[in-house]
Amino acid sequence: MLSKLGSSRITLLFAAGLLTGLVTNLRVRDEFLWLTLLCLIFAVGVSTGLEASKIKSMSRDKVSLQLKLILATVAGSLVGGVVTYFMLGEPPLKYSLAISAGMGWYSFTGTYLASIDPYLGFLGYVSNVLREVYTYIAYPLLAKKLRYSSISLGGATTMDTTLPVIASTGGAEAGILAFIHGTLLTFLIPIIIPALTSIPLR
Amino acid sequence: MISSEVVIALIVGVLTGVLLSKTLGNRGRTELLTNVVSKSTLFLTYVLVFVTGLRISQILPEALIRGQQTVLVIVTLSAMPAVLSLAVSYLMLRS
Repeated sequence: MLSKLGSSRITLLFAAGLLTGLVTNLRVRDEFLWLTLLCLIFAVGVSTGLEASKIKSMSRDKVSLQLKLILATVAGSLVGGVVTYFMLGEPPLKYSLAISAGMGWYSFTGTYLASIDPYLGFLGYVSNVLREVYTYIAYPLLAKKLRYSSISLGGATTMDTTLPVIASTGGAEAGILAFIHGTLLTFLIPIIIPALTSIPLR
Repeated sequence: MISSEVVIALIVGVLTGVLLSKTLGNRGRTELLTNVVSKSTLFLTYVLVFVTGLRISQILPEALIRGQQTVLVIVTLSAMPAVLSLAVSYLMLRS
């Protein structure tokens, strides 16, 4: 999905957007943002559909391992959102949960939350970029000791940006698991985040 | 309302992808399509990142005023989910 996106290029584009906004006071219509986001979601759906045969071809043992891995990543991320809320008292619980449920997919989380409140979008974007950075740094250190569990660290980024690190340090099997883990999470995130933000909680 | 739009876009996308891979059949053509979709996703991501930057510029002064607290929230919101995902995953895979 976000393959070949250098972190530096993304950072530059983000900074360019910030600067343009500060200098020109340019505003973008919400409809444009939504339409672009929906196109991105559609494209993610198409690429998941195209990869369906790879997912189907997994052995039963691997399916069980894969499901545990995905469940653990989602559960751990959501618990992380709850813990953050109880530690700091902000942002409101449902948004803490939504940001942590981004699992590294910063372009979706940031954009979705920015359409609700730009400050939440900022938190969602930067927090999820950092999750990718942590994976780059920590995965090579943890892969030998924790084996496949360390894939959870990368969340949705394991299908693209952090995949090379995982495949090169964890091996080919870890690479395949990571790719499917990231693909399925990328499919789930656009369902989980809107569901969390619509919870009638403070 | 908003979430249903997202879910519909996702489901329609997956169905389109499955249908296209079955229609194309040929592995080479499917890979070509995968490349085109991947490039489109890349382009849309670039647009979204730029536009998100534009939107965030509206609240940047506020975020800077809140400084230390904002940094604390960002670091905690990024580290907690990552660390706990790893811990839960380790416990689940070990059992």
